[in-house]
Amino acid sequence: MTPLQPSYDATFDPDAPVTPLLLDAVDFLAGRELYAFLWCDDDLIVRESFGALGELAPVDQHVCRSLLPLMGFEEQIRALKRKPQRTVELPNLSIMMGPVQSPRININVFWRPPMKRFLVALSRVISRSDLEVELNHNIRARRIAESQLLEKSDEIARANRELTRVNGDLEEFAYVISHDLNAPLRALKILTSNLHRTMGNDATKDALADLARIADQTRRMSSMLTDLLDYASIGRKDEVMERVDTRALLQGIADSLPRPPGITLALAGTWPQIDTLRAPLDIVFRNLLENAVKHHDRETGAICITATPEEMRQEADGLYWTFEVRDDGPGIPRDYQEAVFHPFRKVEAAALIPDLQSDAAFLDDAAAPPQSTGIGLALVKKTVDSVGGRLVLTSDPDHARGARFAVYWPKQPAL
Amino acid sequence: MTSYKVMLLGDIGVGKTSLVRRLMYGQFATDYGPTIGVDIYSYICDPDALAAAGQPPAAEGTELVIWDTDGNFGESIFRHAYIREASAAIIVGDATRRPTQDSMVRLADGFQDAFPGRTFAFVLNKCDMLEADVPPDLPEALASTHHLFIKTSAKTGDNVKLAFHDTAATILRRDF
Repeated sequence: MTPLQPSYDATFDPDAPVTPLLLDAVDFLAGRELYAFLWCDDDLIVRESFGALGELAPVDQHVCRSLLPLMGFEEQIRALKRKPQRTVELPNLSIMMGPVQSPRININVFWRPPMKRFLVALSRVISRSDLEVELNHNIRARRIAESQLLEKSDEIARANRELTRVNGDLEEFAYVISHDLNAPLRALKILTSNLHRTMGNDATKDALADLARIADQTRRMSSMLTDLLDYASIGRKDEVMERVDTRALLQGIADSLPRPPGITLALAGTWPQIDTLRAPLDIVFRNLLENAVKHHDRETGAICITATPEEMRQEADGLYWTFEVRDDGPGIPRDYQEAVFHPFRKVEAAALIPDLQSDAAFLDDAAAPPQSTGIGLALVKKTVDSVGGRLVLTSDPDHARGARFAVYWPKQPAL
Repeated sequence: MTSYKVMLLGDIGVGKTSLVRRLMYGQFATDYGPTIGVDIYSYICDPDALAAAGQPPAAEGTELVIWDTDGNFGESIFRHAYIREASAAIIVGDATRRPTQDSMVRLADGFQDAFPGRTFAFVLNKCDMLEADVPPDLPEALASTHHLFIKTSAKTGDNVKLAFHDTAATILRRDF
């Protein structure tokens, strides 16, 4: 509020009655929608009270006692006599007299020479239009919504941090377990072999059968641990980008993959040379092809691998090479299409995907057929995820045989 | 009657007005408008409640002049004339909104800087909205505070009277 500027001239007689100044004050305050004004003496006792809200400050009472907002401002009010250009100003207050909202007022205390008393003015808050109140409602609602949003964001961030930590712990655990358990397993294999040698021709048929079972289960456990180690290692190794001839890579995998003579592997499409991470790409295709071969349920079948670089997929987060592995095997029922990407989960329906249990020659690893531990597709999924790609399985055995795995391999894989 | 000025501080919408109206009038409504500026209430403390808070009531009576402030002030309240000569502050947060609890900590720091040694209480309001048996995940400074910390619900009235009387009792003990 602008300090009170009396209109008297410099020749004003300080001994003259204060009436002209009072009239000036009234004129000034009337422009500010005055509710009341009070005169207080040096002890801050109300001596005169005028106006509609005058009952807030009864005569002969201490002004700070009756006008509660002034409590604590006694010194500042008295200091006005030393610095008369100042005003004690408390804007936008409501002195609550009951549950109904009291009028909003500004309290201003003045002293100007040659006044003998302090003038306390209670004026209406005129800057708060209905529009402004509405605006404040909206601001309040927005602030609350913002803080609720922030709260949710914080919750998600906390949950993500916890999830990352737990995943890290799990991977570390799997890595340590799979690595450390291999040592006693190797010892078990050696001891079984020694036992078989020691028994020689004295071994009964039943004992030999049991030894064979021990060796078979040992080999199976060893495969599982190796796979688990591979699974836990994804993302741990420092991979480097290199130029990869994708046709040569796939041809190499196809050539080295043991398979029944009736199962054919064919490469189709245009195979690009790309700058990428070789080892993860190798893991993905090797396991997809192994899966297609292992789980084929007929003596003859066809597996086709296609590259379609000209249809490089553009998504919000970048460009992807598109590859596809398609087989004419039994397919994967819809109910199992999520579970097959979990480690050591296999489709249980033997008629659909037979489990190739070993009838291997005793203690002869080289002669054993490939073991199915059920981690191949989990390795593929985790590897594709780790480089920022996508893996899409399409299969509907109720209507057609076969499964199709589409691999969207990022042009810029995550390192 | 001895009067003490108590500031109600806290973010917008934490329930400051609801708390003081529950204390003053035993009412609760969900349609209070935002406080614009300051609403000032005079509350005469209940001698029995003061005694229950461990403080023998003063013979002449104890009045709390409660300044219910506009949440828009934030920490700028400490630079405003309104807070002059405050005897204590009740710093309110919303049990369901973590950012308002972080603000409680900042407001407490600001109050301690502005009024070293004066008392303040943390009031966590809207506790009726928390899931039963699930404690709120509070900022560390709140969870481990040695200052008054009271969980309230202006809606149900739980601990509202206690919060103001415990604050009054602390003021009287410290004689501010």
